Amino acid sequence: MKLRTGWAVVLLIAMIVFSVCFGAYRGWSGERARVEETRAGLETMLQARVEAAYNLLAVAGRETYTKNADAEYLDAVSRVKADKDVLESSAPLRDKAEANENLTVDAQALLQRLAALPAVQADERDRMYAESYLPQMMEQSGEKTVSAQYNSAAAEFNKKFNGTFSGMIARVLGIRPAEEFLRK
Amino acid sequence: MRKIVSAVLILLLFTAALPGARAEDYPPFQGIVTDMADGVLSEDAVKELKELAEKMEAAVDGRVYVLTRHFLGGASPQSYADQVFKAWSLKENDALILMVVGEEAYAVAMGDLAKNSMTKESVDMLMANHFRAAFLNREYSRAAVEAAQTLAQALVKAQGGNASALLGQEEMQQPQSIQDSWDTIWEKAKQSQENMYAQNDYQDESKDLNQIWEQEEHKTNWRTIIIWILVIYFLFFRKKRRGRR
Repeated sequence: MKLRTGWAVVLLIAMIVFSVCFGAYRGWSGERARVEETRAGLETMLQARVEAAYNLLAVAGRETYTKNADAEYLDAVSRVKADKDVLESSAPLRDKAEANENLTVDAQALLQRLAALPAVQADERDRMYAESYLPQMMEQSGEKTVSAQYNSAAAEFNKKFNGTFSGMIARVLGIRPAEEFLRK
Repeated sequence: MRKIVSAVLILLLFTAALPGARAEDYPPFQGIVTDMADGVLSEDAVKELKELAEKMEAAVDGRVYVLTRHFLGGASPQSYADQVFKAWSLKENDALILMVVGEEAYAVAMGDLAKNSMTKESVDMLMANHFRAAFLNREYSRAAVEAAQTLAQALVKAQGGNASALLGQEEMQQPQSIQDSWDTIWEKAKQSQENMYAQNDYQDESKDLNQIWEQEEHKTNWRTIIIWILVIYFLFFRKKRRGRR
């Protein structure tokens, strides 16, 4: 009789542990999936950023402007190209966040140099691109990326995940914190 | 149910995020001319293009459309033009000229019937001769009208229609220059050779390949069956015999 009661207690404890673990895993994996759903929105915004960089490089990289350009101008072009390459790659989000911030600064510097070129000043269409069209495109894509829903969803998830007991269990069971779109 | 809905949502968002395939990237269809590059085409050019489309439609039930826009954000002009052609549900005998202002790039997308009438090389040659110089010189209206007219004429002519009528002239029976004659002969020879390859050789080749694959498949099936029989024999039959001994 004693043996049977012992087994029953063990079984009961095992069931409770299983229920807690299963509940934690299921709950947190669902939450994590919801965060990942918003990531597609961030990727779309990043794609808009890449497209803006391509457009800037299409103008700044014209042979007319590069053939007589100084080293600083060419350096600014290659920096924007490097930022764009990282954003386009499958690099971790932290690297992309860094490249995204760099792109804001590098693109602005390149646009200033581009607009200052006498050849651009002489070309009505490219002057319009350098002074209004492209800066506006870069600015808009940058603002959208920063305000993408993924950033807040990932931060909120990680805050809850790291501060609860069920989150600790879920972590043991293989669920990882959401990757945040923040530079290192 | 929630999982299915989530999976569908993720798939939709992923598809929407693909570069060059985003719905917002396709400009809304505005008729024969969709000038998204801040009016680089003059009113006269738009009028001429519309008139040409009416005449072409009367002749071969097809139209030449023109789309202009600033930049493509790294997308390939040809694939973008093809995607817009599909998104706008243009017809089989239609053609779409894409002009990417700012990138100095262009492409022509055509329906299946139009593609059968003109090879890609002919279209490329036509655009190089009647579009490229004016386009690069930023004479967008002239480039669009000249390319559309020449393309429409070539398509109508290839389909046995009266090409000169597109420009409001009677078809003139003029002797062709030697160069034109050679071009036509070369084009016809190339076309017949392509057709021959397409109809005979490729089919024969594909038939042969299919037969070889089928034979290989039969061989593989037999091999598998023999291997399985051996495995079963060694695992069970031999054991039983040993047991009997």
